Amino acid sequence: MAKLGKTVVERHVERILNKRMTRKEFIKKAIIAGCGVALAVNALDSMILNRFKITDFSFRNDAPRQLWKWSREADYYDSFGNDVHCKLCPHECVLGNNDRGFCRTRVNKDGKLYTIAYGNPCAINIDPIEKKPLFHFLPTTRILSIATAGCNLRCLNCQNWDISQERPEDTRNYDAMPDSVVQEAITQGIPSIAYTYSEPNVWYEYMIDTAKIAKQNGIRNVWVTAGYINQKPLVELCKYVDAGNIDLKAFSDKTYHDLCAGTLKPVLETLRTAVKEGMWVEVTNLVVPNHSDNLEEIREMAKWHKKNLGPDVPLHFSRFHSAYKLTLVSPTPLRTLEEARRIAMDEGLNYVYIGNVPGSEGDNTICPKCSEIVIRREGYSVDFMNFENGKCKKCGNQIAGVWQ
Amino acid sequence: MKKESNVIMVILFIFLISASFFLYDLSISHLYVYILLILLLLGIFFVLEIKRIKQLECLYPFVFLLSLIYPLFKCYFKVPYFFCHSCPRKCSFGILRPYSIPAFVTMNLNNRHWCFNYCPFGKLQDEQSKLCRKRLRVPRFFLVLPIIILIFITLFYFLIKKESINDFFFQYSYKTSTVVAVISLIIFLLAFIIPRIFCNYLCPVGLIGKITMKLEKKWLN
Repeated sequence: MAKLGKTVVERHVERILNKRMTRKEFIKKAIIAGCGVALAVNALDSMILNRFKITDFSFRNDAPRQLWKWSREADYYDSFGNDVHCKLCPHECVLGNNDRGFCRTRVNKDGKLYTIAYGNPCAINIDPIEKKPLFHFLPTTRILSIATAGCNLRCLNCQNWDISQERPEDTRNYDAMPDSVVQEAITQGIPSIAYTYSEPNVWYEYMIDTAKIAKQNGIRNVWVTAGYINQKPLVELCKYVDAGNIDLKAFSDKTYHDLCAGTLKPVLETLRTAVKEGMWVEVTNLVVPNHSDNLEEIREMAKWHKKNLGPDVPLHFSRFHSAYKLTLVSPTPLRTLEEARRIAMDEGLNYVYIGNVPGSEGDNTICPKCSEIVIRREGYSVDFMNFENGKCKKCGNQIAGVWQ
Repeated sequence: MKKESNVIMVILFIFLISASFFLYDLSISHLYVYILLILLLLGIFFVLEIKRIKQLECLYPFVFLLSLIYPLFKCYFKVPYFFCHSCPRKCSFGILRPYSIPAFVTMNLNNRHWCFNYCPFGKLQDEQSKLCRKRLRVPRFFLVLPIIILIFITLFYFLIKKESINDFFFQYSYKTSTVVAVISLIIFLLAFIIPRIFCNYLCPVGLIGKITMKLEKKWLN
């Protein structure tokens, strides 16, 4: 009668505890349970918490039925029967027939890799060069900026997501083959062309063909990128590109993975290589609250920057504003940006700026020797320039940059 | 009646195996992979004999069949199952291998639970051997074969990155290997007259299960 009064749970526990088990059986079951827990934790960590990508990034069976006129056979891939192994960026997608790569712009048709973002930009604008941001390269000039759809990252905070996270077929495009882009720059008297807005690496062939023609005609080339590219195509690109603004979105693999679906190491290699190949480089770090605003990490980044790129390579800390999938994150506090700038300058960097904060002192170029304001800026426009032949008027110190 | 149910089971398995060839997208879908992962962890829980759900356990061979059979149809390597860690385009078996093989071995620590209750290959071979009374005696020296396979796997796990070995085993195409297909068919046919031929003479998980079962019995007694 007493047993009937017990709850179901109590009866279960009693049954389990009363179950006769020898010590050896208990040890055996403890080992099995331990292995199970270890497996569960490992699986939880790699497959769920770290957003383990189950597929190898590509979009299966998503290639267009027929290639359109804005296609060209891609560079940098290997062919294995009907499969292709793209070698342009570190994702290195392996694509079966009719698959589309992670970047959305490369497709496999019968064992050949094609880019379908060639000569069809969805954005063509004339911008001030300071918008890239490039503060030490041909200041006050205008730049012809072009972009097609596509990107090989998935940044949660992307401000150009409406073109970067789209396929070329899904955007409204212009018909602008490389020679017509260069001709437009010549006609308008614009000294440089920027490959920007989305991610120019994913329309690599269009970018490099345009850059070659531009260089032949005395037009400079500017590369605005996240830097997620393999070394071989990068070295080839460096022959034609004169300046670049390269994003260093974070200084840890985890943040790169969580924020952008990328990794850190290839970007660091890109920065080193670009500087080594003679490109004028300016680095941008977008400080995103709760994601990439760790000041210790920023200090490590500044140390790396000074050691590997040199103190004269400018660093821009940009203010985050809510965009795309981070609409509930508030803008970066000004205090954080100022602190980051102070840390970078303490670590020995000569040119550190604060971006996306109109009217900030961090917009101005200051002589690293005498601290005189050499270029005063208000947003994207230059108020005055206080130097001559690239040298500070007050102390004669050479200000690093490409001024003519 | 019992024989008829065995025939139905074998036909069902053959049908599911044939259908698996066309289900690549399902096999690498997030949902299917996570279901298999949950079932693996539940399987370990069931092995502890605290609580068992027999209806769910009956489904294990059928649910795992798609994942385990697919590399026989298509693989980047001439020998499937072994080189997933080097594979450029993993299937669901390759994705889950770091978890599934340890889970199978863990479940086998209690009376070879995976092999005798959950494994689709084991289940199919059991049904096949019940259909035919004839038995073929296999010479004992064939028992060395799974040991050689286990050594081969362990060795080549580390050596596969070497270019020469990679070149030899890599097919450079995601396709069906004729040799693998013919050997699989031979094993399937022999399973009618040699009970559990794959488990006893080829499967490394089966070999480890056999060893752990012998040790378990010795230790517990």
